[in-house]
Amino acid sequence: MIKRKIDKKEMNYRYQNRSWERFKRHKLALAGLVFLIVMSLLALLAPWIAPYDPNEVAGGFSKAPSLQFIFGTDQVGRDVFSRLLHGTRISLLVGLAATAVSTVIGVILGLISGYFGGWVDMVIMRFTDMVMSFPYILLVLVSAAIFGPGLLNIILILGFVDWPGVARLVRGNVLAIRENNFIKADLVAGLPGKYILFSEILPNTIAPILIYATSVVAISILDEAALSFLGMGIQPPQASLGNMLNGAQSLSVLTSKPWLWIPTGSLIVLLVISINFIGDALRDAFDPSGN
Amino acid sequence: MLEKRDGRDDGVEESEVCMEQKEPLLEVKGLKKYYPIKDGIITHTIGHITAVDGVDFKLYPGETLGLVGESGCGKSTIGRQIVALENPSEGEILYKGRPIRRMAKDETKEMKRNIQMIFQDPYSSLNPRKTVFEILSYPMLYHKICSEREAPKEVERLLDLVGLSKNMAGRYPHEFSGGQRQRIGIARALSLRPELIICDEPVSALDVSIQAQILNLLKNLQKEFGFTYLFIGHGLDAVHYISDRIAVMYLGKFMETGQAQELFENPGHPYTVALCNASPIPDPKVRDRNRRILTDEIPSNVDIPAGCRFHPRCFCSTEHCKFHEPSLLSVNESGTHMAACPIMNPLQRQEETEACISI
Repeated sequence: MIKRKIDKKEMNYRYQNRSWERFKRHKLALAGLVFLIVMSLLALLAPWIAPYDPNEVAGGFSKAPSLQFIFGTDQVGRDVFSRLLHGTRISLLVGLAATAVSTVIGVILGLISGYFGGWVDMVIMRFTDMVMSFPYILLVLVSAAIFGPGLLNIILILGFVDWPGVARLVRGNVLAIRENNFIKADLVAGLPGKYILFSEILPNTIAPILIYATSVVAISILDEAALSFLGMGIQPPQASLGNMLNGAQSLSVLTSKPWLWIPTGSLIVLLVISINFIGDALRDAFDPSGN
Repeated sequence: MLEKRDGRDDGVEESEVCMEQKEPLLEVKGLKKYYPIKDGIITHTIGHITAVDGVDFKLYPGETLGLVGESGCGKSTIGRQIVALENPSEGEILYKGRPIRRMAKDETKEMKRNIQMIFQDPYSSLNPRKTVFEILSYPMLYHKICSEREAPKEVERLLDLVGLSKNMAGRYPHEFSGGQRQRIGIARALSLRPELIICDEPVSALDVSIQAQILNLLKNLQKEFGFTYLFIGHGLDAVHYISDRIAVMYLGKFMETGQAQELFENPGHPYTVALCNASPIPDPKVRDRNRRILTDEIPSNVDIPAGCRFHPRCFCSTEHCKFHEPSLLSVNESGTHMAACPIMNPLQRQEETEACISI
């Protein structure tokens, strides 16, 4: 018994070690991971690191970067750097939470659809097609208009919009795994469906789900930014990366006051790129044949 | 612990006598399986693939029935119907006299424990994310064969039975070779202490030296625990080696059934002759022997030839064969050897030939 446990631990270690080796080969993903970790830490510690309260009017209107305000101040005199840290916090939270919501919905529907097949599959998949065929941004805007903007609503709206991809992915995987002989052996032995579904099929679909989920995080961050930019997302004065760009809508700001949009814009780009690189590397890390 | 059942050490002669008296463990009656072919913009059935086209047989406790035939003749389909992975289109499967499709819930559970299957591909038959211990223990716990505390011991014992080392219980499937995986598959089938084991081409994915090991393992286990096997295979040697009785299948029907030795020595159907001739003999002296080998393709099982389904490829077919589908007829006096060919049948030859002339 004791020996078996040691063996298993060692195995897991070896498996993870090899996956990490494969992950490390992607230099960009490694850089992305470091960047993401640093940004997450800064965002988490924002209340202590930020030099000013993000909502406090600390200086003159739209002041250029200086030693006092390293990224300058916005139109109402708030410190851009402090708002950036707090905004990242909100954006990452929306990205992760919305992904969690959509992954849970997608996995459940995908499992049911793929495992039971028949008319259940038919109904769920047609519903999935329906959600997918709505113009995405319009759906989000209309929902935001109906349910009202706000942090929780944004998370739920984005979560309910992003699940079809996950559901299709999981369904496809279940269909493929179901054909394996080990599932047939379970059926022959009369083992309960609960066990087959959650203990045999689900663990074999975790890797692709995780990979897909990283891209959903990136998409959710972008969507939150877009929604807030249009004024339907996180409501001021609360800072988010999207509504910080809201102030940069006019041509004069774009040309003469770049500190209002360049730091925020590049941060969004870097976050999304980092997450996508990590997703790419995860795909390779999870594929044992890639050695 | 697995209890040793009354062994079969008394040999084939004994079991032949017993067969008449014993209740069959499994009885297959008029089994047919068609798969619909769907096509069109609005999908509709445009035809059927005939996988099994009316098969009857009985399996007696402790015996091994071998099923042979070319790929696609429906051997594995029969196996899948017996373990209830699929529903037969027609016909019945009786386990100890009770139809397997109409059992009460706890009866079904007991039946499922008693009928196990060993699969062809040892690579897809084990969950890659589970250790051998996890793979083997859950079914036993579910069927209450052992308690959680006894499980590690029971798993070790099973591994020992199939010739694997005890400390392999903590390993993952990808750390094993094909032969070892097949042994784990066998251990899983044994773990539920079944009566009947369907072996669906258990050795065809393994290399030759391992094949012999696995066949011997299956034979020894049968001797020890009295399992009944339905052995599905296309390697004639393997099937011959392990089986007491053999059924030769062609396009979903039995062409010949009989005691293994008798069937090979004195085949009563041209298809059996061709199959025997197709299997290679490792002896350079007989390399240039006259062999009857089937060269053309097996006909599509969507459009099965009329009359005797083997006649387009048969070396002794007559006009009569094109119109009359022969049924299984006794070839020997005792009725243990049956073949579906009146032309080759020494007992039937006279009248059938006359009938042929009269057409």
